[in-house]
Order: sequence, then structure tokens, then C-alpha cells
Amino acid sequence: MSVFRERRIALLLLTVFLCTMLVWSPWKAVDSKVETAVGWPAQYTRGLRFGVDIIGGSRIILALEASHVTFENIQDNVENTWWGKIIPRLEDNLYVSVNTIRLDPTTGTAVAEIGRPITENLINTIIEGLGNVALDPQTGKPMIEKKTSETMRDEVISILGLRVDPTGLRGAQFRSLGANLILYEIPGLLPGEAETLLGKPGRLEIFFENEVLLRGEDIVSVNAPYPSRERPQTADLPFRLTDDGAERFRDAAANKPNYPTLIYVDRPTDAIIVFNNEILDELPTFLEYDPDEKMFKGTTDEGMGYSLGVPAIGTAKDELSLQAQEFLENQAGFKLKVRLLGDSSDFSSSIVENLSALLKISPDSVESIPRETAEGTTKSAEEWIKEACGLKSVVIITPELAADFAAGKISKDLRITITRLSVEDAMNEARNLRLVLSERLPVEITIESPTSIEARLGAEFLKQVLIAGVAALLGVWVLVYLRYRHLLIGLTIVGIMICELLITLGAASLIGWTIGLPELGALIIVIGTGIDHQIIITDEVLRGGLPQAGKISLSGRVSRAFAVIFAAAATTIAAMIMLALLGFGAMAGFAIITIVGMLIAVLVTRPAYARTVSAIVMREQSKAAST
Amino acid sequence: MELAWPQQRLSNRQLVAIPLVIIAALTISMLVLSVPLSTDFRESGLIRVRGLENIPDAVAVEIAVENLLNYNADVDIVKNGLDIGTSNVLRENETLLVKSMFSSQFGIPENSVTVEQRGATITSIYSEQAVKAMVGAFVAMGIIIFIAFRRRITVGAILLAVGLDMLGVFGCMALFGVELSLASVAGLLMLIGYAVDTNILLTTRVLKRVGGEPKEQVVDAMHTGLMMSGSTLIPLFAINLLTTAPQLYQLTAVLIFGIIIDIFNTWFLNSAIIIRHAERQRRKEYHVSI
Repeated sequence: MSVFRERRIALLLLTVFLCTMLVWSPWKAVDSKVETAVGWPAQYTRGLRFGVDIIGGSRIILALEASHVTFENIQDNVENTWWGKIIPRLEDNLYVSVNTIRLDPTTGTAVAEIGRPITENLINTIIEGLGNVALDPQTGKPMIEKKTSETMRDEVISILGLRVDPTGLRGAQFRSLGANLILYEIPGLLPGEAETLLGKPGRLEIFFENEVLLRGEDIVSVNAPYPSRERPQTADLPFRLTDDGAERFRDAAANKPNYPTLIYVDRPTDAIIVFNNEILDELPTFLEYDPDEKMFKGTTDEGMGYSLGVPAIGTAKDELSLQAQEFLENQAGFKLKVRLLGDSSDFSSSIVENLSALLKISPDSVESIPRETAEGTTKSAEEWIKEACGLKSVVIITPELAADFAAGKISKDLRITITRLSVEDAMNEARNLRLVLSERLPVEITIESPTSIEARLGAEFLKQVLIAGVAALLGVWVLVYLRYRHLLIGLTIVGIMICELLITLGAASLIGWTIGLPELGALIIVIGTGIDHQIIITDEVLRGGLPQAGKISLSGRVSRAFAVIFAAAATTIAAMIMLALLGFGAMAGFAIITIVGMLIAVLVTRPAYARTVSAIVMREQSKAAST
Repeated sequence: MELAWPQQRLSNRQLVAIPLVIIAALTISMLVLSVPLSTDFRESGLIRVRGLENIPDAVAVEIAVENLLNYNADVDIVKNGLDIGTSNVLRENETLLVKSMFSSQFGIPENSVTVEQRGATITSIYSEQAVKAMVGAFVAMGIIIFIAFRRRITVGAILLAVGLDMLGVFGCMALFGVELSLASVAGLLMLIGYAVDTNILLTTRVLKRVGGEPKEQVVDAMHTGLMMSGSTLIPLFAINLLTTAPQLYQLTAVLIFGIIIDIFNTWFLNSAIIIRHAERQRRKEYHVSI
């Protein structure tokens, strides 16, 4: 009987075929980045993802917007004032958590870490009468230092790591840079894609009657969005509130049917919007600018009004209006950024300079919000203003909900409705919003410099690896031949090694494992370690170990070899499961691929090899018997 | 020459002494020289050059920086600029040197060059997890071995051999200046799997097989084991010698050290323990059967 009809061999051949197809993936497009880096092999490795060293990738520097502030003159009972009044006031007004680093009740001083940009004025206004920001005795400057504690930084790194690359398969890397920067590197992606993966660090606020009613921490979970059944081009994003949040919501919204609820993500609490007066003509009837309150105001279909909670000021294209100058001067020290609706072509450069001078901020803090979308379409004036304010959606309290609330019913499950140009756009927005809401960072981060990096090693390196691979195969074949003096067995061993290599590559492709340098090494080592078990099998089958063992049947000898192999594989797998469960990114990925490789080897390739070697030995025995 | 002559001729005590002496020597070298850490595990420097229209040749920049500072430098070409990672954090005078070097040799203004301190890839949270994972892996291994052989002595002997392999590898890394990086950690992890293979082979052959003297069984298993080590060393040497990437060098160097040390720990130390155990067991059985 031919060995190829054997079930185990057929299984091996099938697996190898499937894995080859996975690696080749002829149905996928050739990645241009891979092609420029490695040349023609890119055609046959479409299913694989390569690391930074081989194909380059993106490197983004993130800034952590945290400051260490020293407080002094804390009034009355220092500890009570600090924990009971100052911290809650800071948190309520700054919308971030405040970490106490040091509190010294005897001198009435404290140091706290605040996860957003701040100024002395701002802090002193918030905690008026309770204490103040300390001044440096030597320089007389306020003791506000742009700095991130190591714990905060490590926490951000681990949250981002989990968000971008939970299993370590993508090969993303984060490391700190200087006092408050993080270096983020990911293979094979363009900077834009890398940013998307990072997810915007979202801060959620839900406004009701112009006050913050709910915050990110009031949200328990956000479920997957779905296209709305009631309205076209709309997606619904269901979310669940905490008991406390739901109760507050009920108390506020009871008997207020049709009242608008505003959902903001990353509302720029420290910014002023500056717009060109011309856009006021484009506004739809339900949105207008209130020059007294310096805010945009909207009206719902039901005629209820609401304010967009970010101050805004209009100006002519060439010169700042007097009104704008006065307003900006008043806000100096309280607002730290400007969001400019438009870019340098929409405003003269003197305006941009004046803005930063009046507000006493650096010109870098003037952020331009372009009117063009990434796809090249133009936003409507309404969309543009909403984006600048961070307003994601305006949800109407339905009369049913208001009536339920009035009856004392608490509803924890609510929905955010998002309407865009198409259902797909709305769904994308909803998915982004979900990501933003699901994991919150303890500190604001900003993207400082997104760049792409080129491959560190070129095609030359790939050639080296290929030569090393061929040398390894030849070397093993010679060694096996010298030991067993048997051509066929040597060929079988080398053949099985190539199969294992292909299968491991197939598994890597299946789970989307990024093949970087260490992984490439690991793959070649598969050639070497996989052969261990084949040698155990060969030794058992050929020699039977000891003289007495010769009496044991061939299948008995094979199963004895497998006793060793199973025990060894089980041990390695157990160790790797621990690593996968406890280890972080890079280690978890390594463990997963080892487990997969090991399982395939034990279940598919080793049995097939044992069968082949037994067949070779049996044929020789029957030949010897017939002569 | 017969490869297994020490196992045939030497007493158990002599067999055990050889690997212990080797490991002791390597442990001392580890303590004296200490394993160098790669930039994955410690702080290093990053020179950022931005706003360039013509990017200078990466190799030329690398050579210039390395000559100036005596540190290793890796140059990455990024959009309109360069990122140069250095193996050490730059001191203030070195920062000035680098800036003036860029302006004099490459005509790059000093304000387009910034120098930062780059943190470790493995932060404190991660290294804590890594230690836990390693300990967990050892415990899991011990449990599986115990289930497979039901003898405390084998669990102890195998874990001892694998543990000493690790210790020996650290010693070799210190001796040969191989850096501890993510790649070499991956090598150490692979070594767990590899070292267990030979030890389990030995234990199974001696304890689970009927017939033959323990020493004969060890010698027989050793032939298979050495063949296994040899066949693994071939691809390792092929990568180590034929490729140039530092990560691959670290990964393969760790495994080459580990496999060579494992030969001693398995076939001298562990086999002596197993032979002694098996012989005692036989004596007991013999005693009972009389």
C-alpha cells in the first residue's frame, strides 16, 4: 500500500496545501510596501505581515498633557480641605482626575498631578479661598511643571498597548521619551492608519440644560452599534449607565419631553473657536450665533434651544474685530488654545499672530480645523462648527422616556443616535465613538509628530536569511545521513522540516502574526527543534534501543517514541500557556505561535513522519525476508 | 571515540561535578561581569533631526555619530528627517557636540536637531508581568512533568537542569557580551521547550523502559540526545554566522549557549541523578522479590 493513501499522510499534505495557500493568498492584493522592501517574494507572501525591520512602518510621538502643580497656603484643616474641597473642585472644573503626589499638612502644601494643560490663573480661580499655586522663591514663577509621573506614563503605555495590540501580534511598540513623551512604533502601516488604531483619547460629556450631567465614568459599557431601523443614514449606539448616573439622568430629565441632550467627546474646554464672519450666512435656520453669550446656539425640530458649550468669536478675514480683540484679551490665562475654522488661506497671517499674542499663547496652540474632510468633500458650516466644539450628537428625550422618568422609573440602557451622509459613515462614526468611550486614559494625549519610517534592513538581509535557511537544511541532511546512512530517511526528515516551516508560516498568516526579526529567527529554528522529535522516532524505529527491545513490535516502538514526544510537547505547551496568559504583548504573541506550532507538529507532522519511517523500515524488512 | 565514555567510566559523583563546576564558573562570570542590557531594558538616547529637504546618507550619519560619541547608533530614515537611536543617554556636552557636528559636517542647522532620553520598551509594569510569567511557566512545567512521571525526583531533576541551563546562559551572555533584549528573552523561552525535550527523553528511556542496566539506557538515550542537539545547532550556527541583524545574533547566541550547556546538565547532572534513583529502585525491587 502506498503511504500516500494513508490518512495521516493525507492530512499532512492537506494541511501543507492549506497553509501554502494562506501564505500565498493569491486573492489578496500585493502590498506595495512589502514589494519595494523585499522584491519578488512579495508576490508569494501576500498573506503575511512583516515587521518594521523588514518593511518599515510608522513612528508617532505622543505628548502626555500632564502637569505637576505645587499648592500652598491650604486653609483650615489641611487634609480635610485638600481631599474634601480642593480635589473635588479641581476634578469638577477640569474634567480630569487629579492625583495627589505629596501632601504635607504641617506646612499646608501639596503637589498634584493634573492630566491636562492648565495655567496658574485657571487653577487659582477654581480653588479661590482654599489655597493657591505656589510660586518658586527664586524665579517667582508659578510652580507648574510639565511632567508625567512614571506610574501614569506606564499606565498610559499599558492601556495604549492593550488598545492597539492586545495580543502582541501586530508588533507595536511603545516606549517613553523624555519627561512626557511616548514613542509609538508599528510596522507596515501608514501614519494615518497608525493613528486610527491608537483611537482618539476620548473624554465624554453629556450636557443637559447647558450643564454637564453625565461623564465618561458614569458609563458602564458601550455595545456594538447597529444601523437604525427608524431613520435612514443613521446608526444607533447603545450604552449603559451606572446606577448613580441613571438616577441623576432621571432626576434631571423627568417631565422634560423633547429637551435636547448634547453628547460631546473631547470638548475643547481650554479653547476658543475663531471663525470667519462669512460663514454665519451659510448657517441653517436651526443654528445661529449669539454675540452676547459668544456661543453658537441650536434649536431642535421641536423648537427647544441649546448652546454649543465652547466660546466662539467671529472676525473678518483680514483684521480682528474690536469685539474679538477685547474678548481674547479677557480670556488670556483662562483659555490656552484657539480652534481656527479654516487655514491660512481663510485668514490673513496677521490674524493668526494677533490671536496668539492677545491670548498670550504660543502660535503652535492655534489649531486649524480644515473644512475639507479626509475624503476631499466639503463640510457644511453646521458640521464644521460641531466638529470644532466636539459635539457628537444631539439626542432628544422622547416623550415616553420623560414620562417614564416622571413616574420614577430608572432607565439604565440608552442610545446615542448618529446621522451622517450614509449609513456606512454613520456606522464608522459610531464605531469610533464606541472605541473612544470604552477605554479612557487618565491623561490627555496629543499626537506630536506622525512620521513613516523606512525599512531598516533591505533585500540584502532577506538574501542572507534564505542562504542561512538553505545551509541549515543541507547541514541537517548531511548530519542525518552520516548517522543513519540512509538516503530516504534523510530526505523524509528534510521534507517534513520544510512542511513544518510552511505550516508555521500558515498559522502565522491565519492569526495575523507580524513577522519581525526575532520571529524570522524563530521560524528557521523551527527547522532545528522540530527535527528533535523526528530523531527520537527514527532512533526508536530503526534501532529499537536495546537488544531486548527488538522483540517489541514496530508499532509498539513508535508509540514509545510518542510517549516522549507527548510529554515534552505538553510541558512546553503548559509553559507557553502561562506566558500567553500572564505575559505582555511581545511575549504573548510568541507564546501563541509556539503553542499553535507545537499542536500542529504533534497532531499532524510527527504522526505522518512516524508512518513514513515505519513504511520505509517495513519495506526493507520484507525485502530482507524475501531474499 | 565513543561519545558516551564519561557516562560509562565515571562515577555518579564525578558526573555531577562536571556541570556544577561549569555552572559555578559561569555564575561567577555573570556576577562579576553582569549581563549587558539592551535598549529594550534600559534608557537610551534618541536624536531627532527634522525639517530636512535633502536627507543625508544614513550610513554616513551613523558612522559620524558613532565616531563622535563611541556609542552604537541606529539610523532610521523618516519623512523629511532622521531618527538616530543611540545606545546610551546623551549627556549635555555630548548633545552640544552632536549639534555642532551636524551643522559642520552635514550643514544641518542646530535647531532642527533635538536630543531626547528614550525609555525602556519594557516598563516596570511589563517586567513585573514577565517575571510572573516566567515563574508561572516553571510551575506549569513542573505540574506536567509530575503528571507524566509521578515521581518527585524527576520533577526536581528536570527543573534543576532547565534552571541551571538558564543560569549558565546568563553567564555566557555576560562572558561574551550578548545583550539581554526582547530577542534574547525569546531565545531563553525557546530554550525552556528545548531543554525539556532532552531531559524528558532521558527520564523516559531510563524509568519507563523495561530491560537493560540504567547506565546502558543512559548511554543509548545520549546517542539520540546528542544527535538532537547537533541537528538543532546546525540551523542556529547557520543564522548566527550568515546573517547580520543584531536581534538574530542575540536570539541564536542564547540558544547556542543554552543547548551546549544543556548537554552537560542533561547527560552529566540529570543522568547521574536518574541513574542513582533507578539503581536504588532496582535494589529495592530485588530486595522485595527475595
